[in-house]
Amino acid sequence: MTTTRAGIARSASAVVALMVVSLLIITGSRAAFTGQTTNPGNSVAVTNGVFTDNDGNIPMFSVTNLVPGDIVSSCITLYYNGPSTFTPDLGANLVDNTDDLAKDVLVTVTETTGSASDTFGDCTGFVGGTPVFTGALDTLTPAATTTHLPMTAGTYRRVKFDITVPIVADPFGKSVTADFVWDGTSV
Amino acid sequence: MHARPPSQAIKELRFYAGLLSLFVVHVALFLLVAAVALPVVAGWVASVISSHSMAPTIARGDIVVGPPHDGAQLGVGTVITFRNHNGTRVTHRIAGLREGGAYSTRGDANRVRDPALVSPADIESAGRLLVPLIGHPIVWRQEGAWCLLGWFSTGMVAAVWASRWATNPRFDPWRDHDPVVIAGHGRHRRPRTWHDTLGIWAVGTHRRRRWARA
Repeated sequence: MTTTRAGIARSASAVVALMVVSLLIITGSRAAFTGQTTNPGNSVAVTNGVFTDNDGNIPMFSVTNLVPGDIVSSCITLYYNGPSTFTPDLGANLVDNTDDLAKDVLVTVTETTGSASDTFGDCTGFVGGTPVFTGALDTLTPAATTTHLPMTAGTYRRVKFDITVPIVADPFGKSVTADFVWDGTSV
Repeated sequence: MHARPPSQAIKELRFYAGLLSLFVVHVALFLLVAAVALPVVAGWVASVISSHSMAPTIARGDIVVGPPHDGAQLGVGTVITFRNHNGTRVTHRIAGLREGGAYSTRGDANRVRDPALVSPADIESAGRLLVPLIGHPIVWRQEGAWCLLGWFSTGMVAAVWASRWATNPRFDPWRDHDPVVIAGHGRHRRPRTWHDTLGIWAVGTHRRRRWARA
């Protein structure tokens, strides 16, 4: 049996397509899933620890008509109860920065001692405190914040966020959505 | 008055355009099979990535396929698909283990971990296979990007249509030069090879009509 030049070209096309797809899947899967480990049988014993906040899953900020130059503030209180000490790191996850506004939103974060009676979102009585971050929202990462003071068992920490957009920026009609996330390990 | 038949150069150009279209159709088809085969055959879970949170390793429009989670403990670095506290399906990487067997997760492109922990019961699968690109139409449909979806659909229909220039023997530029022989079937019987099986869906009806006449 002989075959035509066109037939050979069609076969080559299908073979090359199959090779390209296989290569894409294999290299992509290897890059994405290398480092995965499944380790049944390991026993990870973590001592009981509690790290919570008082936000009730309500956003600290939901500003719809921010005027450039104005500062809006909100406070949240963190609570830790567990063994030894806990050092929380703060970072911002940009959920929606389609308008590229995060670089123009200036954030100042200040921490002080809190209490169980603190009201979420209310900064009344917040005096002084230790600045841990000043900069654009898109640069708020754990590495960019100054070292947070460790929390000991049963302690509260009150954190104040001041947010503004400079007048020099061109933020009109733009918006940004971000999660503020604390994370850490007790040591 | 008859139209002048196309020159050999035009015929060959048309054939190669059809071949390129056939290649595109094959790539799309193979990607689709890769994304659908394991979920259908083995009950694996396929998850379309609709955001950039796992870039650059997993891009928007990719599909992550993996076996259903059997409750086994998973290690740090494993890409999992889970339901978050809002009921939204999320595919992120395990960043740490917490008390009670819960996991903290993070998107590769995110600078900090996800706000809520993931309990083992919320995990649907652990990623094993990454099928690139083929989930884009689903993302466009979810986002109402009908223009993009329309262009894509039109492009695929055009590619299927144009692939006949490479699969239909009527457009074979070397048809009069290549001997086509299958023992016992005569000169006008095309050899049936596996590439015909792959291409037959595009031109099958047309070809059957032609050979019925012959």
